[in-house]
Amino acid sequence: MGRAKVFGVIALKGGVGKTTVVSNLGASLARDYGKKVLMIDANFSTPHLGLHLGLLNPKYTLHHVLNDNLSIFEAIYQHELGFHIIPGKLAPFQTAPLDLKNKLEELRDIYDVILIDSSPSLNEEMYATMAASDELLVVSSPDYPTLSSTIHAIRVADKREAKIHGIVINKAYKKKFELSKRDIEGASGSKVLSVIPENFRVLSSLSRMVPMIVNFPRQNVSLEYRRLAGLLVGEKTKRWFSKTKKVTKSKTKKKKTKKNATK
Amino acid sequence: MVIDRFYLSNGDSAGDLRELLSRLRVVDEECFSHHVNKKKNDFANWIKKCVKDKVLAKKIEKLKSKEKIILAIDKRINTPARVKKRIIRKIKEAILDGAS
Ligand SMILES: Nc1ncnc2c1ncn2[C@@H]1O[C@H](COP(=O)(O)OP(=O)(O)O)[C@@H](O)[C@H]1O
Ligand SMILES: [Mg+2]
Repeated sequence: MGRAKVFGVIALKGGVGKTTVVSNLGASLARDYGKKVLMIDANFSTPHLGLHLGLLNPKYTLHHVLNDNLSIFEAIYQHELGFHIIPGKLAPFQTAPLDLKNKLEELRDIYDVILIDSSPSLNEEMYATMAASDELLVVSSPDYPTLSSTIHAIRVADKREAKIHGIVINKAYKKKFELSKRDIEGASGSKVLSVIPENFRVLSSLSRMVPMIVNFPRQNVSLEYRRLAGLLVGEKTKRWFSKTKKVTKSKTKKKKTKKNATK
Repeated sequence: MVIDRFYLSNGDSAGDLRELLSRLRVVDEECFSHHVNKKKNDFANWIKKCVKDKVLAKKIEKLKSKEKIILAIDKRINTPARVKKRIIRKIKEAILDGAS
């Protein structure tokens, strides 16, 4: 176990899907790949990771860790789906950007993967995530305004010498008018790791505060999250269907042998 | 690549198709018919020799009306792919300007 890799999930724009990416990747890494996962809500302006995962008004948050000297271990919540969360709190972000990084050091030996959900604002919150992460995932969508903020985010990260792992394109409708993976890679100079389709069931999952990959494990979005999760930890994609197929096959075989036996 | 400029009889000039298009949109009939008439089509010639776009030159060669020539050039340079490329370039420029 341990020596966690820290991925920061960023975008200089709200509503693109940062929190959805964090909760689904985290859930997949924990459930499909058996990783010890910690998700951290480092977004102090719109701290919504808890609302995606059914953790409402938690008593202890990252805010208390950074500002009130609460031990970071006190702010870790165990989710019934098998991962851990440090929730956020709506509060002014007043600590130095390096504080988050330092606090995470002692957690690295406990977890395999730490995912940080970041603020969309270009301020200390964002810098804290950039400094604390080993690599960044930039969430984007295939339209010009989001491309613009993606290019901007990558530029800011470059300037602060934060490493970009790649881009995750979210809410793709697969329409001709959308920017293609190639357009986005060409314009940003970064690799597109994944294209996640638009799917209203993501919203349905949100209404139940359960990650899409748990709620609708066979949907296109869930398959893609599972693939991306495997990519992040360098493991072969866990295929949802393989197990089910095997089961049905062996069942039918058994029936035949039974029949043969009675004959 | 530096292209020999096209000089219109009204004193305007164009260094590429985009410039030519904007000049053509405001050019008057007198100047236009100086360049496009029964004997010649200066625009087609320039596009062929200097811009080296044979396909467009061939199309324009046969056109005698200003509107049709404008449309042909517009269609040629403003393909969806090129429009996209230009917008992306502008987006990048805006970010470099704003964040430097
Ligand atoms: N692939 C998708 N298809 C449809 N809706 C999505 C998808 N991904 C995210 N959403 C929805 O978009 C909204 C914004 O997502 P969220 O993760 O909260 O964005 P951010 O954290 O970047 O502000 C949420 O309502 C979420 O359910
Ligand atoms: Mg969010």
